[in-house]
Amino acid sequence: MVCSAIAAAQSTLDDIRTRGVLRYAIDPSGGAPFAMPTVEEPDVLTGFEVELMQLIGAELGVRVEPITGDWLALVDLLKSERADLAINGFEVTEERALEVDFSAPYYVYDQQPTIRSSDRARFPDFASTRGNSSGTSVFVPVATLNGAASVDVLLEFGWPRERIQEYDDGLLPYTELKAKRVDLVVQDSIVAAYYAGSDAELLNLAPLGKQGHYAALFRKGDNTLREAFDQALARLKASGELAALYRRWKIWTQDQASIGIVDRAEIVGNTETTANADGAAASRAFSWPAVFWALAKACVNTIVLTVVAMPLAVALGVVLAIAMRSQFRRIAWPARVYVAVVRGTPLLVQLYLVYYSLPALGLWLAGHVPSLDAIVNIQSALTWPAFLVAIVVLAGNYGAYEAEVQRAGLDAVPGGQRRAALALGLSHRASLWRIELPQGFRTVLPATINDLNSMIKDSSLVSLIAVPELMQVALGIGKATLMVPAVLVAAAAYYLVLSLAADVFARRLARARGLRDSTGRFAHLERATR
Amino acid sequence: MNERVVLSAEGIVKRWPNGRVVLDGVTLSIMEREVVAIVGANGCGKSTLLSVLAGLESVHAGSVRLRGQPAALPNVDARASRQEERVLRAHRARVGLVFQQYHLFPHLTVGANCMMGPQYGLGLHVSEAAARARAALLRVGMHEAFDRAVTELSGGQQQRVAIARALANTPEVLLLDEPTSALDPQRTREIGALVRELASESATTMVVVTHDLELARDVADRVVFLDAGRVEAELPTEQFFGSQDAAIREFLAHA
Repeated sequence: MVCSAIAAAQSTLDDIRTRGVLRYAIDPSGGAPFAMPTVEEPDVLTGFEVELMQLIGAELGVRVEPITGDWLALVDLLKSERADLAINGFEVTEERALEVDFSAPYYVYDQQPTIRSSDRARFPDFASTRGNSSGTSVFVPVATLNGAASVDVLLEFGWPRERIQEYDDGLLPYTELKAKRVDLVVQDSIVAAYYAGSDAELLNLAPLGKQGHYAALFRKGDNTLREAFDQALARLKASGELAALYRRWKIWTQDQASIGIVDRAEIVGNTETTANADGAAASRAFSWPAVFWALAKACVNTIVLTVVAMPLAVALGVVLAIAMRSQFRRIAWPARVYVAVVRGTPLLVQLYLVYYSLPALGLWLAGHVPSLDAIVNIQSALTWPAFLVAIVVLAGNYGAYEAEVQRAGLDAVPGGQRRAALALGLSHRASLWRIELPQGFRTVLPATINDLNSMIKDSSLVSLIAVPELMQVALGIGKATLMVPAVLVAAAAYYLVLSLAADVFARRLARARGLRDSTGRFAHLERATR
Repeated sequence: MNERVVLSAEGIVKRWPNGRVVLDGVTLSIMEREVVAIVGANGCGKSTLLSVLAGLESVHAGSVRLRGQPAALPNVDARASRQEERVLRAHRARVGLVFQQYHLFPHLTVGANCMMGPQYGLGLHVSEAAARARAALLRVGMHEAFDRAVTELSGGQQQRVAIARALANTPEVLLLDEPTSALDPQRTREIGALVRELASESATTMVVVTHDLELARDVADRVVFLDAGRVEAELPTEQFFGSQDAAIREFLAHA
């Protein structure tokens, strides 16, 4: 077992050298200044970790490519071998060490308490948020990032768990603080500096002196790659390039010297005088035309997903509907079970399972059925690209809903239609395709258009896996520019436009097919678009 | 049997799932160029018999032959083989059935309704199917409606299209189920005239199930009187209407 792990590890670095590409898992919607989409080109990421990886890539002589996914899923991206490493503000904790190996630390963070500026008199220091001068405990409600080390620090300071509110991204705690739902935020200093440091309404108190390290994550036993990464990192620390990068993003602190990062004044001087080199300020810059253009580009993925997945879903729905109506139990039951299971479980879970478990299944199969692996490389055959997984899962999920829709349509066709078709000598199949399905489809067209609309919006869920679409880009830009509500409204406007376009398209399609109701008008569609 | 027999049924037995006997050993022969009217009280099995002749019903016993060839009617208790299904399809395509409620295909135009049988029942090329459809529509006087939606037509026009759809397959025999029951008196006269025309003009063999004794008397060469799933009388039209048989007199008095 150990031997095979080492063999796999050696091949990872070899693979990267052969490919010429190092893939790192990162979440662009998790928040600045780690990684976020650039406004000009949403597919291109920026952030200090993105720049760090570019420097690492240059040191190793390979190109680096971000594999994006939800922050909580990055470890799965790594484990399923869709990425070679994960880097996104992962604190070095014992818990994580059970799952993955850590690189050498690349950043020292502290825990940073933040209060509202108006509360300056009430909470002169961190101690006052825990108890007053008479010695009674207070423990004001506090917000922080879900799964971050700050939770452990707060527990250590005695906070009761029910007073700690955890959020899935770094910006929301500050929004909650400003809305007075909590009185305190404790987060990694780097996050606090970006979001609260430039906000007059918020005040950063002195750091808590609970330093911790950020490190990149590797698969267990992937030692050669990890060592190569560490050597490259060490060179960047020693040369002063890393310090310059941190100064540019305004995240440099004296603590960084403790992990061997050398600060060379001359490089510092050069970069700080250049306004353009201020990565933090540049990513905060906000202009509506740029945002609208960025969202428009992000729409393309949403459109392609829907345009490909919806026809597949309808086709699958028709097949399932026919199977469900079959008099043969062996055909009807699997279809019914499929529909029940797929409709009864969240799309999010299905996406997650297919995307992250398929490669693992391949790995397992390759280990247990060596003869099969000799014929085809199962693992790589099952490591489907994210976009394919997104289409397959969306089509498979909506196919289950469409199955019930199309079944209702077929049920609504009067029995006389089939008898009339058979009387003319049509086969059962011809009767189904020429007579029953076209009429059933016409009857349920409003329901199918509803499904289409709903798919346009549900396609936002695929950003969980590495497909950048409208919602993910909107959140990423919103967080980087501290304009989340405004950018989300803009994204909603795009969804509305897409949805209306879908209606118009469906109406055209129906007219082209000469679908008419009993009054000769397109009454079904008028009902559907209301 | 006589070579002029087009369609024959022998010993047809059919029960509903609840056990009620609909057809109780019906035997019947339709001769070439003959027009036969099937009459009887409501629920006597007339329409079911017509469906059986068209090959649309499974039966408990008995057989149907078209020009002497068995139609491979599905038995209620047994699954038909592929070969049997093929024979049955061929039978259906060669027998034209016009339904009481027409059952036109509402999503298709008049022309497309009439092309369905030739194209997908007989397997003809689309151009040949269109020619057949036009010819059939011409016979019922609906050729100008080829591209119209069937849903735009009146009841009488729909009935004509339904007849044309059956005729487009150039069937050996045309089966009409209550062709005038859904129409007002004016339309009834028109369709009656059309049926008469078809009967006289073009050597069409026809079986008409009807309540309309006037129509029966007018078009039929022979009347089959069905009662409780049995053939009670089978007489030339004139004899039937002049019959002294008590059951027939009773029926004629009440119809």
